[in-house]
Order: sequence, then structure tokens, then C-alpha cells
Amino acid sequence: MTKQVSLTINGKQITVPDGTLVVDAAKMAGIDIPVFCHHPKLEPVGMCRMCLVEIGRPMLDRNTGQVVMENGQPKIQFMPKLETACTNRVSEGMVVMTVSDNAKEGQRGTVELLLTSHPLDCPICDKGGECPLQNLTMQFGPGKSRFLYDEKLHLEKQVPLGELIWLDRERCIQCARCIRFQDEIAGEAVLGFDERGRNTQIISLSDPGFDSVFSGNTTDICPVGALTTADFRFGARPWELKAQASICTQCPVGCNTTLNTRREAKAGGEIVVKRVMPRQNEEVNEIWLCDKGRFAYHYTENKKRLTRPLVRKDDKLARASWDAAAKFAAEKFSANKKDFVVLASGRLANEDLFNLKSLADTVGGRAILYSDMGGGGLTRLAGVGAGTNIGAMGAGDAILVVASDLYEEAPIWWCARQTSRRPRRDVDRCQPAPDQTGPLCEVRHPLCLRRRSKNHPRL
Amino acid sequence: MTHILLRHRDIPDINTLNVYKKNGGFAAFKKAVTKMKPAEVTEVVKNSGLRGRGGAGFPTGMKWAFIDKNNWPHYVVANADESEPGTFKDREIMEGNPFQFLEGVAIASYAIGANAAYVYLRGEFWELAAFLDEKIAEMEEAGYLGEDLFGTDYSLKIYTHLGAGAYICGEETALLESLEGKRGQPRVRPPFPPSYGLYGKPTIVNNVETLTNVPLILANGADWYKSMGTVDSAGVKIFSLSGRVRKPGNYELPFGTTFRQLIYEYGMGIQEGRPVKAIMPAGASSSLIAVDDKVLDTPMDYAAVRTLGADLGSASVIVLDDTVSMDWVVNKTIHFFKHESCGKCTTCREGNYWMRNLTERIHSGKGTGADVDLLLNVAKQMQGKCLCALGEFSTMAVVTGIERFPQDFKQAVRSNS
Ligand SMILES: Cc1cc2nc3c(=O)[nH]c(=O)nc-3n(C[C@H](O)[C@H](O)[C@H](O)COP(=O)(O)O)c2cc1C
Ligand code: SF4
Ligand code: FES
Repeated sequence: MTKQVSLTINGKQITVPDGTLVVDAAKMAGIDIPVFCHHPKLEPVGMCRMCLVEIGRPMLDRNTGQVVMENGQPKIQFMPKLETACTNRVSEGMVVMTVSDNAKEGQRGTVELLLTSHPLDCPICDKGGECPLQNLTMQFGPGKSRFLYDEKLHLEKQVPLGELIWLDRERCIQCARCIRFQDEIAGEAVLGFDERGRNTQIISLSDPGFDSVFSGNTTDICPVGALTTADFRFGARPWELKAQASICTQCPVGCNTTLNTRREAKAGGEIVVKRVMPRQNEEVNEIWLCDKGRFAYHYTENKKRLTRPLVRKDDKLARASWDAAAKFAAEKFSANKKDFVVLASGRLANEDLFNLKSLADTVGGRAILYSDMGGGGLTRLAGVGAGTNIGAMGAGDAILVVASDLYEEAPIWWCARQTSRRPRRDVDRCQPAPDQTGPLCEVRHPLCLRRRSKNHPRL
Repeated sequence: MTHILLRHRDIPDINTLNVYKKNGGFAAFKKAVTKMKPAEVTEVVKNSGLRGRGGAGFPTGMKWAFIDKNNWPHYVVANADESEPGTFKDREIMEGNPFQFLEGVAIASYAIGANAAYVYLRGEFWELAAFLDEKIAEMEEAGYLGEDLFGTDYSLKIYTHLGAGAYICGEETALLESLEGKRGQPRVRPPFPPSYGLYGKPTIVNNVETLTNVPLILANGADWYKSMGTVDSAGVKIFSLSGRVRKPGNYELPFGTTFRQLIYEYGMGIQEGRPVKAIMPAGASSSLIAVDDKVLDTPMDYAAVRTLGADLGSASVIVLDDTVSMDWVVNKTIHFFKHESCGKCTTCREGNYWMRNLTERIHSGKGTGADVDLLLNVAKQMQGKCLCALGEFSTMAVVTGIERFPQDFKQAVRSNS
């Protein structure tokens, strides 16, 4: 078990694992430290300067190395400057003040600076209503700007980074979350900074632009309205939307999703899906979703899609009521009895599969699930199957991918594989064909050899 | 006085291998590799009192001793980015006395157990980089670099690397990022380079001038070096003198030389015999010192200059006379910092853009007293909150300019106040 250390944050004593970042320790104590560049899934960079706090540590005697005591208490030596809570890690006896006058002044100063050239176009911004910059400005910022409105820097507001993602350069606060996500999580470092100083700008480094199958995630973690998806931008205000929990059916991962819906006049008063977003589940998709899962729902908008029942009569399809159609189907089912076979795809939800099976049983037919997890017995022993905690992937020594191109077939597992390489871990493949992961694995692979030795790797 | 660093001024052609060798060249390196343990070399440098010449004045021997011995390989990086406005000493060293500098790099490498060293030069020094490459090749040819040096199993290669012309790449962690082929932006410190440096490995970054001192310290001993300069700052320093003086240039003098001596004895005084009004002892990053007789008679070393509310830094002494108004100076420095801010942290990126708007308004006569107050307030609000020292530097001239020369700013905004 990792060592535990005790520290005090705003007078509250807490014990957390050694190595925890001060900002995360505060969260465990129920204290929110404002952040922009910090993201719990990304490596700390300390660049936005929002999380400024006062940090003190017990003073050590130079000669003896012992803690200096004062009135029976360890004497605390505070750092001369404000420190970033997102880069400092806890230590025994640390004292943190997040709401002292000094800290509050530092946080106010950072918000003020961030807003100097910000366009403040919240009324037409997609992020409005769910924007960390809006929220933290309300909580920590000044009520009024001392920066002259006419001196604001104006930049391009409609920049397509690729087909799916648009950038508003005025709104960007240069926190680099998008760049870091692409680099650290997606493993597709296709975004970068161009220029420097106040001219620093996000650009796509790839051709075609923003060439990544995880691009949509950057719009979720962008703490302002700088990155928006091509399909949702200017489409609705967040507070008009209803959230429906769902599961993505595009691949075996089963990412947890939220469907944001609303009724629309354009759709004749029908309920329409306005966007699909990832729903946090640390054992499946964490907080990520691939672009297929996020954007593929648009097939439901196809005009040719069947939304009402049709019944074939004399080789012609004719409109029918739901009742008439159901009755027609029931008659045909019972007429055929034993010859009645249902072929169901693994993409259906468990509830649908259950209903299909019941139906088949009632009429005396057979239901065949036309898909199965590959790998057979081996998968059950060491592989990924129903109920596997993907969040724990990488806790062992190696990851073995058998006969699958994760990037194509289960993109979020590819991502998880990617992050579990941090710090470096072997990722090995037994592959029928070369894929995105690289060349074929050989039988002489060190993993296979090590498997025969005493300290064979955990998978 | 004979020079220790700018030896090419005394010895013609010392930038050729033969002449350098004839004048004792490479003897110190050979002695170190064949007769001394690495720790002994570090000990001599420590005892000499040598402090870093890149700006911070950090004790060099102590830095070398900090190198993490449980993580290998180690690297030495010579900081030849020399981008501080008013600093032009490293260039003269490398052009005039290149072998002494490279020998310093070699000795530092031996002392910390590095088998590869890099010389990181600012992009504009491309010609100098090509010149150093020739010198390095000559050293390899003569057996001073390469495999199994002097019959031991110690090997060393030195490589030059060109930046792309950014002031921030003089900051040691931004330099390392740039050297790794990434965007030149500072890392959060700690960890410091001696534990986490180039490619995440323990690295010593030293300024060119710092390293050029090393061969003679090793040859002549720590006590010899300590006998020059002051108790606080041992040895000699190259002062890059510029501004309104009659004879600007590099002057290699012992620490403790007074401003008066530098400006009047060596710089031949001020143009048109005008009085000195202000001094920036560390280039554009300086606090502005308001000059009086006491200031002129202050000995220049790290501790004494601090008593004047400024840092000696890289000792690029810019002298300003009474024709210069500080609102003009501040507008100039902020123009520089706004241009050079790397943009990584909010404070410096936004703060310098804001300050530039204000200094421009004030200097062009469109500002008011309230703008001056705001400028001072914004600068102070930035202090202590930047990710690296560049942002902190940018506030120095602003704060000290307004606080120490209020008249200049009142004058600049008089028509609107
Ligand atoms: C913005 C900035 C620019 C710097 N530029 C230089 C430079 O051009 N040359 C240099 O030697 N040190 C420069 N430094 C200092 C280096 O970070 C580092 O402290 C130095 O190279 C260490 O060498 P020393 O111990 O020999 O002085 C700069 C620091 C900052 C913050
Ligand atoms: S202080 Fe300036 S130069 Fe340094 S990290 Fe921040 S933006 Fe970059
Ligand atoms: S959240 Fe700590 S610096 Fe950005």
C-alpha cells in the first residue's frame, strides 16, 4: 500500500496517499480549488496559474534534520510566493491555504488576466451555461474589467480544425488541454501551438485536419467555448436539453453515453437527439467516447429510415397501424412454429435480446445470438469480457491483444491501452495482420520467452 | 591586466589549436581525466567560489554536486543562447577563445560523468555554430574528444545545436525542451535539471562564461581564483557595457570593480559629458537603479548590487543619462517581453500584452495618471505568479521605473492629467 500522509487544508486535517497533488487532496477534503489547465486525466503542467494557493511545510533544523517546534507545534515555513496546487504534491505536515487573502487575490488576478482579451460572447456561445470560465469568473473573478474594451485582441472566430471540430480563437485560453489529450490519451498528437506570447494559437498539425478518431473529446474538456463540434455548434443551449443515459452500440466496448434531446419545431414537434456525450464510467470508458460513438447517431435522422410499420401485401409494402402490423407478425410466427428462428446481433441491448428470446420461446421457435466474444476459454481466463474492469487495464505487466485491431474495432480500448503505457508498459500483439499498433508479433517475442521463465508476466 | 577569459585579446591566434595548446591548453582536462576523480574536480570548482554567469549566480560546484548519481546517463549542456538585450560576452568568448570554452565543457562533463555534451546556441549564431563544429572536429582529430581519452576509458562527444531565435530558450528548462526537439517552453521546476534534465536524465546546464573559467581554475587552483574578486563573488566577470557611454564593449574585470570605474575608466564616461541617471545592471531584465554618488561607488558583486534593489544578473550594464526618460525605457523593455513571452502561462502572456498597451499609451502622450497607476498595479499583480523568471523579469523595469522615477511618468502624461 502507498504511504499515507497527513496535511491540513484550510484548517481541515486530512490523510491522503503520498504523492497526491494538492488540488486532488483538497477535493478529497471537499474543498474546490479553481483550475483550468489541470485535468485529473492529464499530466500536470501548471500553466494557467488559476490554482494559486499558499503552501507551507514543517521547518527542518539545518543541522539535525529534525522538525523545528514552536509552542508544542511544528513551525511552518510558508513558500515566499503563491504556489500552483496542481503541480505541488502533498507531504507530511503540509499546511495549505486556498482562501486566504493572498490566495484569493492571486486567483482573482488570474481570472482578470484571462478575461482581458476574452470576447465575453457568452450569450451566443455553445459553452454558455456549462462553462468553467463562466463559473469560475462568477466565483473568483472581479466584477468589472480594468482592461479597455477597445484594446481587446481580435482573432478568427470560425476556424475548422478538421471536418468535425471548429475553433474560436478569441475564446481559447491556451490551457493546452486539447493538445495534451491528443498526445497523452489518444496517442494521436495532431494538435499543437503555433506562434508564441499573446499570439499563441491552437493549430492542427495533420493533413487532413484534426486527423484523429477521438477528436470530439477535446470539446468536452475544453474549459471554454473555443472548441465545438460541427454538428452541435449553435444548435441548442445546454439548459434546454434533457439528458438520457444510454450505452453506445457501435462496438463491443459499450461506452456509457448521455443523449441530449429536446423537442424541435423543425422536427414537427418530435423529440430529437441534439448531441451524444460520454457518461463517466471508470470501469468502461472513463470519460471518453470515440467519434463514431459521438457522431454516428446522425443515421437516425435519415429521411429513408423506417419509423412506422409497413406490411407486405401482394409483393408491395403498404402502410399499416402498429396494432395491425403486430397482429400480422404474430399470425405468421405462430403459423410456422418450429421453423421460426430469430437471428440477433450482439449489438442489441440485453433487454432487447431478452425480449427476442421470450418471443421465440413463446411461439416455440429458436433464438440464435449471431455474435460471441472471441477468444473462448482464454478470454475468460485473462481477457476482456462481460464485467471486465477496463479501468484496471495496465495494472499488470503486459497487455496482450489477440487477433484484433483495437483502433478500428474498439477505439476506447485502444485509448486505455495508450494511457496504460504511462509509465511505460509492454503492449504486445498476436495479430493475424499488421494493424495500427505496428508490425507482427513473433513467437520468439520476449513476452513468450518470459512466460516460460519463473517470473512470467501478469496479463 | 592580462585576461583570464578574453585571452584572445592578449594572445593572438589562440583560437587555433596549436596556439591554444602552446599556452597550456588541454593540460587541465588531461590532468582531470588522468589524475583526478570526478568528485575531486567538482571539489576544486566548489572551493574556487565560482558562481554561474548566466544570471542567477548559483554556485557552480554545488550545482555539479547535486547531480543525481542514481540515474544515468548524465549530460552537460552549455547555455550559449545569449539573448538578453545588452549581453554580448558569450559570443566574444566563443569567437575569440573557443578552445578554452570547449575545454571547460569537457572538464564539466568529466566531473559529472557525462559522455555527451551539447552546446545550445541561439539561432542567429549559425555561423558561430559552424565555427565551433570545426573546432570540435579539430579536438577530435587531436585526441581531446572521442573514445578512450588519454588512454583511459573515458569518452566524450560534444555537439552543437541551434535554437530558432527565442529569448525564452535561454531559460534552462525551455532550452532542454527545445534541445529535445519540442516547443521551447519552460517546465515546472522543481524537479531541477540536475535530477531531471535532458530526456529526463540528470543534466548540468551552465553558461558559456561559467564554463570558460573552469580550465584555468583547475590549472591554477581554487585559491588562485578566490584571490580575485570579492568574498561574496570570487574571480573575474565580463561586464557588457552599453547605453550612453562613450566606449561600450566587453570588459573583463574582477568582481568588486565599482560602477564608476566601469563607466568612467573603461567606458570613457558618458556622451557629451552628461550625468548618469539610471543603470540597468542586468540588461532588459533589470530593475532600474536611480544613480547617485553612492551607487556609482558601489562595488559590483552579487550581494552589493542587491543592496541597491537590483540584481547583477548577467552583468550587462546599460547606462542611461539624463536625456532618457524612463517611460521610454519601460515601453522598450515591455515591447521586448511582450514579443518574447512564450505564452505558456496566463500571467506573462496576458500581462505583457496588457502592459504593452499601457506603456504605449503612456509613452505616446495619450495616457493619464490613472494609466500609470494601473500599469504599476498590473505589474505588481503579475509578480510572483509566473511560471518562469521571464514573466517576473518583465515587471522589474516597470515597477522600479514608476516607483523610482515618478517624475518621468508624470511628465509623460501631463497633457491628460
Ligand atoms: C528568460 C530567461 C532567459 C535566460 N537566458 C539565458 C541565456 O541567454 N544564457 C544563459 O547562460 N542563461 C540564461 N538564463 C539562465 C538559465 O536559466 C540558467 O540559469 C543558466 O544557464 C545556468 O547557468 P549558470 O549556473 O552557469 O549561470 C535565462 C533565464 C531566464 C529565466
Ligand atoms: S512567464 Fe512567460 S515565458 Fe515564462 S512560462 Fe510564463 S508565458 Fe512563458
Ligand atoms: S490549474 Fe494549476 S496552473 Fe492551471
